[in-house]
Amino acid sequence: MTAIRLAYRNLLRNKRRSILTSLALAIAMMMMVFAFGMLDGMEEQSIRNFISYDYAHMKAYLPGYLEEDFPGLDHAFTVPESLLTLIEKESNGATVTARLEMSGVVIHGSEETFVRVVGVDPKRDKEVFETLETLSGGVTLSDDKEVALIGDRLARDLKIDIGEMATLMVRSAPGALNPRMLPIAGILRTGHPKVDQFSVYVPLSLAREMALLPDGATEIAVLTKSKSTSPEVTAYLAKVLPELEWHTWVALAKDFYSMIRFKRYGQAVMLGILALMAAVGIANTMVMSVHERTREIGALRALGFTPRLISRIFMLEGTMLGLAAGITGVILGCILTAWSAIDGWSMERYGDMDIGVPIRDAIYPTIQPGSIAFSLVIAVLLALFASWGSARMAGRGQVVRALREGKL
Amino acid sequence: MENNLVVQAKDVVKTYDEGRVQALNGVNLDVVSASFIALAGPSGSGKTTLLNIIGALDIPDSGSVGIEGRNLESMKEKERTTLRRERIGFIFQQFNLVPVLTARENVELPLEILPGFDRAARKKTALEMLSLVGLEGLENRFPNKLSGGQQQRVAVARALVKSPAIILADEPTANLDSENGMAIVDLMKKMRDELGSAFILSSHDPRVLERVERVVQLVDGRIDQ
Ligand SMILES: Nc1ncnc2c1ncn2[C@@H]1O[C@H](COP(=O)(O)OP(=O)(O)OP(=O)(O)O)[C@@H](O)[C@H]1O
Ligand SMILES: [Mg+2]
Repeated sequence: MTAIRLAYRNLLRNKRRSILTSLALAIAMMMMVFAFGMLDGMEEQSIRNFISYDYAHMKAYLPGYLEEDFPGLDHAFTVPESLLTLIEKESNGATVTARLEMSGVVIHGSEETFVRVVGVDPKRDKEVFETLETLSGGVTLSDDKEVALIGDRLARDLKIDIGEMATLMVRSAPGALNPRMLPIAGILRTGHPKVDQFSVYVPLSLAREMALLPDGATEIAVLTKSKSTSPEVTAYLAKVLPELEWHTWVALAKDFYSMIRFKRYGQAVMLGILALMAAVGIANTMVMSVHERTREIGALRALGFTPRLISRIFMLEGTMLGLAAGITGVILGCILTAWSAIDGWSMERYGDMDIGVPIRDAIYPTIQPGSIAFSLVIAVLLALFASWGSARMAGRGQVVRALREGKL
Repeated sequence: MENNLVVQAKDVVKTYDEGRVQALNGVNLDVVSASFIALAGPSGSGKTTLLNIIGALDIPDSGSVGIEGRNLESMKEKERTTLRRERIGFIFQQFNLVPVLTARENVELPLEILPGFDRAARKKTALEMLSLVGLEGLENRFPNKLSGGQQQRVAVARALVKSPAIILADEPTANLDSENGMAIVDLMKKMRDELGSAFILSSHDPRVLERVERVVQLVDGRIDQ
């Protein structure tokens, strides 16, 4: 308690020095909160996009499908309606849909582009994905119309608009090229680059016809009632239908996750170096603090303060400095994060470039309690570490010499 | 009589710089409880060295020092710290108050590291002590807002607050003008009368030496009989 009083009064006594010293650490902590906020925001939005437009909560494929660079119709399998109903029943109220995906080419006028052609069941798909309802114009698919939806960036590249005809060319399962003229019914704008830039959606019945695969599908997607139960449901379905390969969205997004983990490490290392430099500042201040109080230390030792208690006084002082820096940094970091979340970090600057993030418009950083706690803990640990040496020195000094020469 | 001795130093030798400087050269000194004595002698005669050894801040090269019958040489560093905490008070030439603590907090300091004093007891004891040394009303001043004489009074209160057996005061008046210096010596004597601690001062100042009950003259690390 004396130690606490001594610590904060000494910090206040050297106000300018304390502020300057903690500022460096505060800035490091601010950047840490912000950087993690960006990554957290990116992760959150990415997961939302993955689930809404691409992976649902889990997907089933024929074994080996995911290992193919360009998985084709040789990995299609038969999905009768009864199978989907069975999965619905077994997964306890989840929604289920089948998709038939193949690669193809869209041609409009003199423009042509490789695309993924996705056959979707308009009714079922809406229960699982949001894709078919995220239109920027036109109307969505219905079962009995032979029309296509395309992503807005793809439409831009093909210079095509709603109502115009596009030629869609796919290779059927037996291998014949199968061109089809289709009107563009609507344009999708989901914010997921894979959908907006590379995809054409047609009714499943039409896709099956073009592929010459009645009841064919390349994947089954399942959306459980709650994201958290998806691992168990996946494991269970894998047992019920072992001939298919079942993956949760987490497994499907593993490249994304390893990228984000890599980014996190990268940021942590960079900020760690920054924080370490700040810690050197604290160490320096603490050495000064010990040196200018040598006689005081000697007097306290004469009064019967133990070396350990003396050390604790200085450890506490350093820790308070770190804590103050940490709190300041976290507050500044939260302000910076909240401020940049207003407009978000625009992804437009990357254009059509694929940077492995399923976000097209902007990343909105979020503030996570975890990263706040982490920053505070790091700040305090660094401060402890930084004051360790001088605190030990303070405790170990020779009393007589400290009193006589003012030196430890 | 024997058990009335608070300090018993026998043949104390202390050298510095690997024996080149003979600071104490076989000192014998007995101090009974509630004494009021002073070490005198020219600069370099060993006054500070002897006080440091009696105060368990330093250890002699040879000889023995007993404090209230307990031998310092056989004590570990930790035990010496405990001895200082419980039984010895220090008053310094440069006052050595903690600048960030108020007068009262400075006086409370020794009690904070002793068992049996809660917050209220510490405060009460410290305030009593401060009024005994004549600083009533200045309890909440920080040292830099006190005169030298007032600071030394706080130091006297701080040394005495735990009722130690021995108070060691190395040149307590050297940083004060003579009027304040004499007042401090008179104050210490008054405190000795009230509290019964033994005082060992050191000083060059003849007027200080006039006021003590016994003067121990040190010359070249020896007591001059
Ligand atoms: N740490 C030390 N290293 C070397 N020599 C020392 C040390 N401390 C004291 N001495 C020497 O020991 C001798 C006694 O010193 P001491 O400080 O005890 O004298 P003193 O009587 O207190 O003198 P003063 O009146 O000037 O305070 C002196 O010669 C001094 O130079
Ligand atoms: Mg001296």
